[in-house]
Amino acid sequence: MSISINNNALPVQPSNLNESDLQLQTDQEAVDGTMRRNKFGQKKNSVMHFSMLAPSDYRTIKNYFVTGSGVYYSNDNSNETSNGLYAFSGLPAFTENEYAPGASLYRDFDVTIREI
Amino acid sequence: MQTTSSGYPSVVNAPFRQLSTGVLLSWLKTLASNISFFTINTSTIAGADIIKGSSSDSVSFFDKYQYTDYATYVKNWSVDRQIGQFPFGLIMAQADVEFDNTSNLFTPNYDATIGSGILPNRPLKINVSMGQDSLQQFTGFTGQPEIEVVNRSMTLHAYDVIDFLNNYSFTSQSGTTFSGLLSNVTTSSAIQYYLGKLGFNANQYQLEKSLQQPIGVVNVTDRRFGDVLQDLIQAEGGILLADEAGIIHFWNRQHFVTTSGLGFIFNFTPSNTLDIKYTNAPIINDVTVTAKPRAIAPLQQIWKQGGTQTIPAGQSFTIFTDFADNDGPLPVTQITAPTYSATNVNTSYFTTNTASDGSGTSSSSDLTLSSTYLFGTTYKMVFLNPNNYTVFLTDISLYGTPAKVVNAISQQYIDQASIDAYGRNPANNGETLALNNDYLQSSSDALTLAFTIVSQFGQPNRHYEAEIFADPSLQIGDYGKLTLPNTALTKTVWITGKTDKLSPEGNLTQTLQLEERTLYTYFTINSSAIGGTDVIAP
Repeated sequence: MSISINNNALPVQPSNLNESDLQLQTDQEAVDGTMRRNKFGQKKNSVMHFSMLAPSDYRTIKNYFVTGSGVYYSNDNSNETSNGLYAFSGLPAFTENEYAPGASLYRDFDVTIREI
Repeated sequence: MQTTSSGYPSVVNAPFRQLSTGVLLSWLKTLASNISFFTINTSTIAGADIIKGSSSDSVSFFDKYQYTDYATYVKNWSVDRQIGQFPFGLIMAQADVEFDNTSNLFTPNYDATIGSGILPNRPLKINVSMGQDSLQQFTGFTGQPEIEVVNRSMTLHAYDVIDFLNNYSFTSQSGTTFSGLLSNVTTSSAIQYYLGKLGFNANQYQLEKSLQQPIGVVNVTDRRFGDVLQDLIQAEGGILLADEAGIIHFWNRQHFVTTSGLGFIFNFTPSNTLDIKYTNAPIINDVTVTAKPRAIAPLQQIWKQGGTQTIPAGQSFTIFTDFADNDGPLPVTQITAPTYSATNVNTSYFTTNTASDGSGTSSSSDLTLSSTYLFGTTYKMVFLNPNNYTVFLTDISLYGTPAKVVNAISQQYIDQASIDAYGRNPANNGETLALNNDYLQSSSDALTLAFTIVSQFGQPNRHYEAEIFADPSLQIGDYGKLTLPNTALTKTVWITGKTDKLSPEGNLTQTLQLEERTLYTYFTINSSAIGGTDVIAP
């Protein structure tokens, strides 16, 4: 697995990764229970959790996302696609976590990137 | 319903439906090539020129703009069109669209390409695609964009072309130089005439035949077009609306009878209906319609000045005259502009004198009538005294062609069985519902209008609101069946209102207003067969 942001390989790969296509669809149910599904498409989505990042890695990874602008996400070893490449332009939303007690400023970091 | 492909029914009724939407805007109102603006008295009616509004903006002819699809920025939209309280009148469609503006694309004067065009009155089209069919849902013009800077969003509220017609005023300020007066004209002919003057091509409206007798006088000069249209349509008991593609339709009061002959377009059953409610339409069982139709009278004296006006040397003086007779304000269709005369004559004239009591001298060079303007029931005259002495305007007489009341009509229709059961007009304080419309030309037309309302609203529980699996091809006026769940009740209904909403996550919902209608085919001279099934209007 090798994930890059804006074509820069992450210094540390996430400890937990959830790549999944969000289904833009709604199921409706008629009075007699008949189902109807309206689907408008799907969007790529990646949820990453980094555990106990060293301070320098923490700052490097966070800096990819602090501007709030879109990023290019790429994973060339993904199970989501047949050729292993899961790539898209998306908007990131991240969460900073508290310092781990007694761990020399190590912190967890969470970020979700959703396809534009 | 809108025209669809042969495969559409299987697509729209499938359990899984792949949808997409288009939200097209022409921010810069760039026109397609080879377009010129309509010029009254120059351009050809039904020609290729397009109308220009009060500014440099153009109106109508939606297809001739260059659009860009901004669907990828759309968070949600809704389109709403309703007939209103009564089964006739103008139907105006409205649309609301919310856009994501994270990129500041819609922030005024920010984007290099469209930033300068983030303004009101932009052409907007909304469509939904299902299978290979792309179905228009709305065509109109936007209002002022509502932009939330912090939330990075923009909301547009838009109206269809009926709003433009409704608010247009035929005044000299709006560039109108043609006669707004028509006489002995049918409603459809009058609408066709005015739409043509506004630059609409014949392929941009479809007008059904008027069923009312020709109207004596129709005049839009210095009136809001919507007010005139509302009265014309009411007198016909018809409907004026723009369809999803922006085409204007006039339906006469037989329209629903006609569409019922086309067979059921839809069949709402518990398997395609999400919710059904009875709506509380007011019970109306007593209607009185009054009218004072007018006709143009021969040229005659319509006003004479009382008293003397003083016009100092070198100054101008403006006179406004209000015409009236025993029936109130009197519309006048044409006035002969007064010219100088030293004595009384049987045409429009004015008389001057150098003395207020008429003892001085009188000359044709005393005053000049520099301008006149007829406002319908008011006439404006501007006199100029070019001399170095005071002139007294001792007499003015105006001759013109007034549109006089030729008949006073009052017709009442009641449904006694409904009154006995529910009381007289419980939603109108127990009083007859009074309607006045001077475009009604005969007692039978007035009675038909009263009958139409009572027959539609005299009984309760004939109006429904149903949420269904959305079918973007359905339109107002479509006819079909509605089966109430858990009952054996099946109703024959028409669609009289429609609200479509597209929400995030691909949720397309559709709520319909449905009415049961009792259909009557009224006897029409030169159309109905004697001994046929058509009934004489009550």
